[in-house]
Amino acid sequence: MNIIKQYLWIPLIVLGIGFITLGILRAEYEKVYSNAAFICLSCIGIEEAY
Amino acid sequence: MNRYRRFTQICTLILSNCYILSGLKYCPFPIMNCHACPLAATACGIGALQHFLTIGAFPFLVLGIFLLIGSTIGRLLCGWACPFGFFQELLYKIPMNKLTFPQWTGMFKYLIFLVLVVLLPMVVQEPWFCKLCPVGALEAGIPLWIKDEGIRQMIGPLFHVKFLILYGLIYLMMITERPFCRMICPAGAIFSLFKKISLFRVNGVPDKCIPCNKCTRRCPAGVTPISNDCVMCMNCVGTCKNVWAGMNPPQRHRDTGKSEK
Repeated sequence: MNIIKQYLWIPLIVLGIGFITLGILRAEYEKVYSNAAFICLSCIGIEEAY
Repeated sequence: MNRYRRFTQICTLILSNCYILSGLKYCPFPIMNCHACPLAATACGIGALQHFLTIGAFPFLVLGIFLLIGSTIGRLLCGWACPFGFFQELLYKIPMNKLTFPQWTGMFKYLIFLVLVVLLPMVVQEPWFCKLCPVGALEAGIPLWIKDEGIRQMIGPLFHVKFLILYGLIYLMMITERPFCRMICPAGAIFSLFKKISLFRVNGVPDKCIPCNKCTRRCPAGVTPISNDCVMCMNCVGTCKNVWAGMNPPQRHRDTGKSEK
């Protein structure tokens, strides 16, 4: 059990890199940018945003 | 060690709020720095995660970044890079009567993550953590309220609720160590899941621990390195021979077979 815990970071890193690659292929960075680039009214605390 | 940490905290604060680097907003950064701040250069990881959940898309990129960072360095960014963590450490230096909250209060952050970051955005399609986030109130609410006449006219009850949370939290920051990181931060909740499995770890030997509190006194979060709330600042590493930082426990701890819980 300890051995599994000790090396669990390896599959997790692989999974992380896989997710990032998938995210890039799906152009998720554009959605991240479009959400972050403009003034986010929710972040300021204005309810009329939605 | 603390001097290097201060240096990296100041560098991150400047870089993540350096408007000329705003091309970095394509990348969700898993530290608490609101992307609605007029100077913000990076996208908030928690804000981006909620955005994907509100539109009903699986957040591959955001989860991938959290997984990659969490499994390599765990909560190191909390202690060494997070601008809001730095802000809390500065406020704690104000001389006041200090208070220590019980360890179980650290469980609140998991509840907040589940309800405000995951469930509510999925169900009601609104980023509820962002709506209440004190980081947004401080970094986006105040500057835009000062700067923008249009924003001032749109202010409603939610704005005041958000600021009440910020005021309450600022008071807590002055009397206790890093209350936001320990009790509220959703990014900290995600990274603390990697506490015992990340490649680089800071930990202690529970069986050999005598509660002398040498480590907690040096800790900016007021916890032991064994705790899930440890922000991996490494201030405690030299203070006690039972505390270690690295990829594996030192040989002397491994021999006992009880190096970690």
